[in-house]
Amino acid sequence: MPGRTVHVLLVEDNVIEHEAVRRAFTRERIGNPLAAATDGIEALALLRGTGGVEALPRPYLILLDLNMPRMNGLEFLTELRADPDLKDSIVFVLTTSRSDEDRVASYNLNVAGYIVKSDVGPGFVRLIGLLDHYWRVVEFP
Amino acid sequence: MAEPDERVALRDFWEVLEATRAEVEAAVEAAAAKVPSMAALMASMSPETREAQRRLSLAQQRAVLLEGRWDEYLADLRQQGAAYAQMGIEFRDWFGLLGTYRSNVRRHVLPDLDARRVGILWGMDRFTGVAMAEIGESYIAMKEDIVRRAEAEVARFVDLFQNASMGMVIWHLDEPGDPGSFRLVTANPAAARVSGTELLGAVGRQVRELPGDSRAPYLDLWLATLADRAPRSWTAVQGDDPETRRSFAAQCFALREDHLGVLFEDVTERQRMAARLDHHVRELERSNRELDDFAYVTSHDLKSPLRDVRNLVSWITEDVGATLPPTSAQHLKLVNDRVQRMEQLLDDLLEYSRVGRTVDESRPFTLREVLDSVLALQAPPEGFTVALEGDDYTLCTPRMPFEKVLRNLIGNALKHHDRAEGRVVVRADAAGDDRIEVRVTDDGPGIRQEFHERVFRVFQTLRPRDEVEGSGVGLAIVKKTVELFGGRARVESEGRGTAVVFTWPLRWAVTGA
Repeated sequence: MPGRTVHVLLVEDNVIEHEAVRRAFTRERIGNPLAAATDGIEALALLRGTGGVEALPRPYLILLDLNMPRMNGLEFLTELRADPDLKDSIVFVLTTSRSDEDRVASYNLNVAGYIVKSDVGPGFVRLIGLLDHYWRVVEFP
Repeated sequence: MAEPDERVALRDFWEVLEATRAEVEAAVEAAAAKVPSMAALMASMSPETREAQRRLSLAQQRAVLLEGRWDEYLADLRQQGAAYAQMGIEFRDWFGLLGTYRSNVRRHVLPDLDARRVGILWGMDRFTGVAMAEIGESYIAMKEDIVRRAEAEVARFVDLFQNASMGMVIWHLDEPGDPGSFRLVTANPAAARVSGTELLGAVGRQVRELPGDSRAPYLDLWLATLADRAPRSWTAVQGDDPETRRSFAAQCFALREDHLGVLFEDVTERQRMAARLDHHVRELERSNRELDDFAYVTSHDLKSPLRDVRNLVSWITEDVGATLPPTSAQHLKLVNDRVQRMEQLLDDLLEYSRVGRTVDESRPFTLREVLDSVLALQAPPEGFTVALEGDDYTLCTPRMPFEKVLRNLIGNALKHHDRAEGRVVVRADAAGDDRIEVRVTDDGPGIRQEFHERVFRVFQTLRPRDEVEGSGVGLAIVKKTVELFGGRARVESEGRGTAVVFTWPLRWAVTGA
């Protein structure tokens, strides 16, 4: 979809992970705008444009952590899928949890992919590169 | 020669007796005096008693021989027989006296018999007399023996009844269909002990006369058991206060002739014990679960900051690595190494805590298959061989836990080997009907006796981690996994070489979710 920039929303409470994603973007020369939220509530506000912030323009892609304060990843996904305006959002879960329960629950909430970020450094950069390829070839809703 | 008419014969005999009475009696008394037990008996009797007996005997002879009335005579004979037995007079002795009596009567009555005829009669008496005496003796002995054995049997049952720790009572249903008419026939001491001493006072009385109606709920059960003769059991609770309340387990069964047996025992302690045990088991399960959750959650949460540290270190290296003094660059590398080690520890701890969290289904597999798949993931280094010796076995249990145990043991054998060449041998032998004992043996440095227990504990290593990387969790995982499947793991090592031996079930039914 040429001419339309994909916005990336990173929902993650750890600022160092934010930094990791930002650095990987720079490394891979990914110019897409990166928005950040530290929990589900903040992310929903960003997507809906409530609380004095402007709504994140479409198309967008969400990178979601699962363990977060206030509203965790699975709660956020549940809320997202229940919202008629947001339910078609593309979400990748990006987590350190290898738990089967988390994985099954995430796919039940229609995530595009469940990625365990075990690696740091070059491995993580390659992962972000892979996501870049994804949003370049995939048609967004 | 025709059969004599009985009445005529008896009357003739009477006449002869009358004629010869004095001589015959004297002869019999003389003979009796020679038998000690008889002599003692006669000595114990006063002259009046003996006179009375003589008169009685005479009256009986007359009744039988002249009037044909046997009843009184036979009854008296039976009484005499019983009396002799009680006084310890042998059957043989008084039967002998009877012989004396006969031969004397004959001598006095038939003096004209020639010697040959006397001899024939004597021979016949002797022959039949001895036979009668011996048959009588053994007949009586056997009767007595039968009685003694029956008595012993009864005594044993009485003993059982008296000393049983279970309460035993017998009731009798006096009026068919009326539960109030159950009468307490007997109760053993345990019954009184268990259910209270007032039970003894209730013997001989009917349920309807007894105070309280604690038995009322079971009376219909009793009637039903008497009707269809099928035993029934029930539990009874006595008392309202939970502190002093007692519980009884009881059962009833039909006996002969409308009698009903009831067995019961106080199971209060047993129930309390079971409840306590149950409580402890639940408590233990809960605390184990909490421990598992704790280990799982902490190792998971601890990994996140470690990841951050590694990220930060890698960024510093990326950004300013080239300009760092060599020592600082080395320190950063060490930070990285230690963080990786910590991550490894946490991964292993996580694995340890997850043993038994998920158990997959039992499927058949062979030792060889598992060994092949272990070696495919973890090929032995140059110079090392891993071999299966002895019989291969087919197991039907969850496969992954078994593979994990074998992987850990083979991995350890290879990792801790101190020479350039080595050999690891896996062999299995039957251990009873339902298990195998698997032995993984290496020819490495061996483990000293004092460490054989310690190596199975979590985070126990025998060498510094800088020499051999290892978290010390491998054998702990082995032990926990093996014990989860009801087995045991141990180390055998003397001098060089170590064998880790564990048992594994041939079949395992996965229970629960």
